[in-house]
Amino acid sequence: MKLTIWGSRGSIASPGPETARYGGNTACIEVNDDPRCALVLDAGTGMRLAGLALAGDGRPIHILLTHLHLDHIQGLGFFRPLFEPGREIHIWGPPSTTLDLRTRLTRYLSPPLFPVRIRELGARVELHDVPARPWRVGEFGVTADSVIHPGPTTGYRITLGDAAIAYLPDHEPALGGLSGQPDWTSGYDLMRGVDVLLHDAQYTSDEYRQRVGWGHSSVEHAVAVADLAGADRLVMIHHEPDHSDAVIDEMLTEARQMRRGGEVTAAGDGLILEV
Amino acid sequence: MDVLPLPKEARMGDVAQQAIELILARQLASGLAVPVLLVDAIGDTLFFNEPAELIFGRRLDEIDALPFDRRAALLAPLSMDGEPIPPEELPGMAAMRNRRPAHAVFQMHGLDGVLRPVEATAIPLESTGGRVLGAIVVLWTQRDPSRPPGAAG
Repeated sequence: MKLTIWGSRGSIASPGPETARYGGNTACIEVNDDPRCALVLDAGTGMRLAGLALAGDGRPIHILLTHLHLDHIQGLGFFRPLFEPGREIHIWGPPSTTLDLRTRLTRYLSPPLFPVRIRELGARVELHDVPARPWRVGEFGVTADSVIHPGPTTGYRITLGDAAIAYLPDHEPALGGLSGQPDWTSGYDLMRGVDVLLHDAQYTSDEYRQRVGWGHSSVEHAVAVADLAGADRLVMIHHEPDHSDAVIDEMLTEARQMRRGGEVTAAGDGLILEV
Repeated sequence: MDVLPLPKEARMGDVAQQAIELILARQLASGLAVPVLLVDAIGDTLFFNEPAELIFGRRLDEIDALPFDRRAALLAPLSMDGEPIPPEELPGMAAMRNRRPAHAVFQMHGLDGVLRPVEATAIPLESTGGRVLGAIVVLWTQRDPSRPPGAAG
């Protein structure tokens, strides 16, 4: 499985010289290596670049949205395959008890916030609530489950052959009490034993204390769940927009010191991971 | 579209993580001063907080597992007139069955054997997918005028 990180920032795009190395685009990951289809995780501003990479190859694309906060959907309207006539594109997202996915998404993808409506795109777009049970998309096995974050939010576990990754970019497991008990830890089933865990590590511990309930994790919490789940490699993602490259370097060093068994990497725009 | 069941991934090991609604409910209950019991969708005990330990007459840590049938047998709930109450009519089960809050006043035996009058209000925990995951049951001991407010027992 080949992962290309097109956007690793959280909350809002943050381009500039201070963030040039890790990048300023918001959440978007391309999961590739299946000739039958491509997976894209989230549709933040990094999605424009993912679209350039996937344009024209004709494969169906499955876009898995963790939730509908703007930093995870803002790139949708700039995803080139959506404008390719007849291109098959499926958008999956968390269910809501009140409004279906199309209704919620079109709040953004319609005037006055966006000039083009979903039905006016060239691609054949289908929207789906993620199912409660694991399902298969091409060669990929996909599992979605709710995780702790404000509003309906899912994390994903994706498998291909023996390889498994988990993607929980917006996740505050500490709000459920990080007791070290797997069955009482949000996201555990998704994260258990994965090769790569892409997990929210937005805050330093000091910042987290000021932002409890905002839906994100400190580095300490990300390391704790990675260790609990036995993830081989933790990839810190959803970087705080105010954090410069130097701050993320410091957080990465701290995470590596705390990790009891496994590697730690900080996601950056353009980073490619082979699993 | 190629969407197929994944039997292997459906059995992701022997440790089944609780739904986040239950995780959050337990965390909330653990921080409350009112007695709270948390049960799963079939009524089995998932958690009760320290104030509830006074009503149940046993610490949570002393109990390995407390399935619904066993809990109902041990607590042996009675109406205020002393008539046995069918376990399925207790507020937690009624709330899940009817998908609406339920309230009752009754007596029950603690695990220490003491019969106590209690009030209970249960709220069903229904996920965004429409699945009933369990119920959160808030309990009050009926006030004994000779004891200070908040004393359970």
